[in-house]
Amino acid sequence: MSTIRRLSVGMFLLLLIAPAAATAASKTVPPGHSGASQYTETVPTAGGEKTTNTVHGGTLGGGGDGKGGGGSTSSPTLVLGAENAKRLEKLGPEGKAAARLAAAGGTSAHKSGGTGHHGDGAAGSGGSSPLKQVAGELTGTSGSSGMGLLLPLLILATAMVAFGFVLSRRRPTGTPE
Amino acid sequence: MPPSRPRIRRRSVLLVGLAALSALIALGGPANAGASGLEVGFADSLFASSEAQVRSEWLGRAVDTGASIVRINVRWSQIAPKKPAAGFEATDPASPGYEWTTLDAAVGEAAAHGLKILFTVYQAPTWAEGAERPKKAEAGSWEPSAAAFGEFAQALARRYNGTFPDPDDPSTTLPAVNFYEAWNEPNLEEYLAPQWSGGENRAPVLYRSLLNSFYAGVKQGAPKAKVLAGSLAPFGDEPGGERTRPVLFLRNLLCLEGGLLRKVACPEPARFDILSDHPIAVGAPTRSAVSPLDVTTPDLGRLTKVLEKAEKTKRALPAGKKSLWVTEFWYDTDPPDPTGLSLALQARWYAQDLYLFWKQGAQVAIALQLRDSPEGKSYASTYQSGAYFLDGSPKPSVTAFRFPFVAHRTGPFKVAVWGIAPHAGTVKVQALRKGGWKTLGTVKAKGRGHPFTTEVQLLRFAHLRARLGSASSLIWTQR
Repeated sequence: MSTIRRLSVGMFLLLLIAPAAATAASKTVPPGHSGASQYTETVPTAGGEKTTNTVHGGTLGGGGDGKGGGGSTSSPTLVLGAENAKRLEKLGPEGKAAARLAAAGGTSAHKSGGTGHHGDGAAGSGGSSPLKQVAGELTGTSGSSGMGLLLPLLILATAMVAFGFVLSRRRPTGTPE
Repeated sequence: MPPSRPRIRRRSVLLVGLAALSALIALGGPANAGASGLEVGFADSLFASSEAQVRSEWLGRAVDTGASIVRINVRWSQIAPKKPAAGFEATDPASPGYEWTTLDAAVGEAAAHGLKILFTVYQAPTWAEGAERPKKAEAGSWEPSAAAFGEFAQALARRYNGTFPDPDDPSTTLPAVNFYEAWNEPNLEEYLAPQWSGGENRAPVLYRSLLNSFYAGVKQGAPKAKVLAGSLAPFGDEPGGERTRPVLFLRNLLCLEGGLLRKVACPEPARFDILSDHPIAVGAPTRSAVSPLDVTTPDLGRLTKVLEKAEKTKRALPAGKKSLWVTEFWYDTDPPDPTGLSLALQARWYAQDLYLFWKQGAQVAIALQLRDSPEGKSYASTYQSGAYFLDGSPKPSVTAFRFPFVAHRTGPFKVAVWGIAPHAGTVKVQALRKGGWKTLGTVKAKGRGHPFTTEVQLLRFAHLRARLGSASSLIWTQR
């Protein structure tokens, strides 16, 4: 796969992660407290404030939570949405690999009717767009959130640009005639 | 002419290096990375029961379950007179009108069991609330008078500074209480209102006044006592809502603005000794809050970052490093609550919580409830987060509190373990093999309040446990 294509897959994946955070579905409260609105997690969306779904599980670092608490596996379609999943698939093997990566580490935007002790798929992180967040910080707007996803995305982007640069410079050197 | 190979290598190394450096800066390291110990405690209304037998039994069980501290709620409105009579002296605990009987009994019983005590003081009497109180405001929440709160704090601290004569036996004194928490979840309108007014985040300003007055009152009555500030609920709403996100609340309390924590004018900086928080989770302990302004189990660093800046810029007084306490966390279980966690998962997550709190620098972790509450109106509106069922039988969480033990893989051949032993001794870290439990390593433990850590060689999947004499932790499954 060409370097440009690889970069495209990577950047596309990055762009998918942030807006995926904005979708919210059913309520998230501490297990057993559907009536405890004061402990409900909410995020802002284009359609107003919505309550989140929980990320299911997550481990301390080892295999801990796999059985009892979490590690739910999701398909790319569930995590990214059908259209986005198809776009990645069309980019070839690397695109499919990126889709699988998103499914493994990401969260589901799909509404779940599970019981309270199973976290459902979640909106990933920070409801407002990274650009809005940065603008909020720069203008010191009260209530503005931190950089959220932006910094890790920038870091990832920097690393990918570096990688792409290295690859692009590695042209086979012809033997001078 | 294309650049030479050495130049390509240098350039690529530089770029990758820059990216790596950025990553390191972003990731940072955990604040205070578990340098200190961790004491475990419980909050439960049983500790202040009007029945002596109930108090005694459950305070005893708190000790058995690993607690060294208990949190007792002090509702100002229930102790102060409904209407102060002429001559009522608010700073004098002996002034007629104060009702201390239940609190005296709770404090006496807790002290008799060797437990430290944290008072969480909130809920103003009606006469101490602000004018034009909306009908929908919760009792005791509307613009409480800072001056009156400070006077009550002084009376409270004077009564429990260890020198006040016991009314039941004036030849002895009431026990000392050394920790006083100013208000409960002041970032929720349920407890402190209004959160927002005219576009301004009013609650932190209100709270700063309450806190400073409380601090002065406590120190006046008990100079050596410590004052806790915060007690922040984990989640908030967008500006104007009924809840203020805890990081935003703390920034505004400590006169810092925005993600860069710019200093703003602060005529009366907040005064306190310990920052407290309620990082209640809505999922697994490792799941961060979606908003960077909210704080659940693994997010305490979002608060300590603000606190550290405030300490440096003298917006958190008195000068010096403040401690961090977790004063509420919980998970309901099924049974009995049909939407709660399984018993095994509650136990597992409580152990993980304790580890994560310690790792982030908390020195105390107080769980909500030792025993389940009755269902009441509904399970959704009551708490079944105890380590014991309503009938007193234990859940697996009893062991999770008494002998917490967790592990995580640090490499392909190594696993790090963490725990708190029920008493001092040599802990064996064991893996379940075909022939039985095999010891992978040992570590000296100091007992309660002093977590142990070590690394063991572990290549593959195993069930692990910690063992000290005949005491065992719960089993931790490690991949």
